[in-house]
Amino acid sequence: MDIGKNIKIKSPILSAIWDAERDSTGEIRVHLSKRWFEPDPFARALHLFTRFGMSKTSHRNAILIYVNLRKRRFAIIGDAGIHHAVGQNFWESLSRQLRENLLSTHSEKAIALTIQSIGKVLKEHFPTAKSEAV
Amino acid sequence: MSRWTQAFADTTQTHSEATQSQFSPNQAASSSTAPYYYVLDEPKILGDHTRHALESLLIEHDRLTGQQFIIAIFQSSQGKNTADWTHQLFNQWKMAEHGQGDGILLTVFWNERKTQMEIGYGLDSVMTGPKIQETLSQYIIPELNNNQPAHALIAGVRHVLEILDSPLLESGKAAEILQTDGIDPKLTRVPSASTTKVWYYFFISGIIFFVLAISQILSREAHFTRDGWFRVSPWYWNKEFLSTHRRLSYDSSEIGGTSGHW
Repeated sequence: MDIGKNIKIKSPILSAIWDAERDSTGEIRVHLSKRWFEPDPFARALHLFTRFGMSKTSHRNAILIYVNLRKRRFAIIGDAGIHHAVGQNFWESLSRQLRENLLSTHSEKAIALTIQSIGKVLKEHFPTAKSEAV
Repeated sequence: MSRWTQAFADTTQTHSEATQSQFSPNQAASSSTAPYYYVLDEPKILGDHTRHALESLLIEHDRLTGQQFIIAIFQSSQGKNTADWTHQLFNQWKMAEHGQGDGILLTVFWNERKTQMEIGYGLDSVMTGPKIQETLSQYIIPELNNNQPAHALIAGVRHVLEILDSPLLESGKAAEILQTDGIDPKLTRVPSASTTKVWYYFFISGIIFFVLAISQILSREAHFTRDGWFRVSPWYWNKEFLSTHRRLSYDSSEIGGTSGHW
């Protein structure tokens, strides 16, 4: 999907996504924004979730982390499959974790740490056939 | 302060007999002849240069074309109907008999803030009702409302000369006359209040659009996937939104998530 210029730069977020998705069928995406006007980050995240077709995964286990760096607000969206597996409590604890990470370290690293937590859950609930065999 | 208004006289009445009205004891109304230099400024609202420039323009135009254009400014109509008074003055000054009935009388009643234009039958086809309205509403009245009577009359006379296709304009003589009296010859079309308002709103809209555009450009967004990260341009969003808008309906009742801030 051509959504802009592909800039291949090493980023902790990319590394974390790569590691998290390696042994699972889940999909993780991160969207960083610097919008000036953002009344509801969750609604925006949901809009992006749908717009990028993240609801069309086979196991419905896509996760989107949306962070507005200018307004210092974030949202995490999990599709039906992963939500059914982990429950709302998981998202709440993930939100607390992300908040603490963002307050304590650089934003990219904070998001990467959150992605690692998500990766563990995805591997547990949605392993690939290969990782299952192992 | 009340706004200036215009009124029209029925040009078909130029042939009627002047009614014997009781003129107020002011100089112009008691005089049976038109002002010699074509400009009467009773309240002295025009500067000497402006008055002289107008006189020169109007006299020269009459000399070249036989069309008499007189400006009469009064302090007050003293309760008289301004349209009637203008009409009576037109007849009293025998402007209908000048040349081929090619007379124009522009009256300004300063206290009542009214202006009036009377046209001789010879200019009926040229100075039509819409043209008169245009002259008064777009050239004269806006500047009178801005308290600029000199600008108002210069611009109004200039516009009438344009309508009459005066040789003064084509030859550049009008500009010379104005420059001689220290008046900017480019003081021609005076934008009407409505035109100014349009430009004002256009300018404000432009500023708002510019600010929104800059905020859009500065609101850069980046999207990370396993394949890499992409910088998303604002115009890409708009194009995509328009094309995928109908596909965005999605039952989000089963999804989970949360939001927060730090």
